[in-house]
Amino acid sequence: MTDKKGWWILVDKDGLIIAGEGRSKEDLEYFAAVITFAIISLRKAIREEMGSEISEISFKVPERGLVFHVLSLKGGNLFLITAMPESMPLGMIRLKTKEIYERAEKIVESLGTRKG
Amino acid sequence: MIQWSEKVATGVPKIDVQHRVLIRNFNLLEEHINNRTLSYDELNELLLFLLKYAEWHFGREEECVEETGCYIAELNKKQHEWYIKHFTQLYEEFKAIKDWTEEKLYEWASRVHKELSEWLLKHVIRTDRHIGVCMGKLKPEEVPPPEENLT
Repeated sequence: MTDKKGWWILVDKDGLIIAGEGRSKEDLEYFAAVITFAIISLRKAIREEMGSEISEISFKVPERGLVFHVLSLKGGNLFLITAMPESMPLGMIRLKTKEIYERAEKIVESLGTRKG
Repeated sequence: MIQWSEKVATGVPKIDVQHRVLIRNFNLLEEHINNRTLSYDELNELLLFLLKYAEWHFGREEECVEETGCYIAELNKKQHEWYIKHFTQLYEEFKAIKDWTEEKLYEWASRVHKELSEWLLKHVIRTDRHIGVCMGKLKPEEVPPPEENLT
């Protein structure tokens, strides 16, 4: 996948990639580490200021035509970060995100099984 | 430029990935200095990111060290505290200077980059790699002894 098709990563709260595709391993690793740091910082600020947890974050990178969604998994210990082309119809973005989310859930389940 | 290699790796993926972020951004700063493409805003953003990311990373690393009961824990923490204090002072100095000229900005950025990146590299090699030893990722003979007075 290129930026035209989008990319995704499943990361833990230390910014370590569990799974992902759509960019080079090096790029995904860097995004994972940096975006996780941003999510953790934002989550901390909201918790301190509002006493509540965030479950979803969205942002756009207009120059690259990308829409990002961040979803929490496993009680906020893992994050799924998806980057989808802005040009994609909203319904398609939802469908693709759902597909990736389900794949991520399966990966998380298998991690739990392996650890158990 | 700091090159990522086995000599810098702790063998602990979550620590190495965070070290690579710091190294990449120190290298980015060096690139801007060498290519004369640095602006005040760019320097401000890079310094703030490096400071905040280092602070976050040190916290994660200390948690990891405590979990393993590694012999390097106390020294590691002490060095982190020194670095953050020193980096914060440098950042405050940066914000306090009002009469920046292009020459002064490059001179200041070069000095600070050299100081902070060299410290980080020494710390990773002489202290952090011992975490790899404690976690069974590196052999003790692969790691130089810790430097007690790293400032």
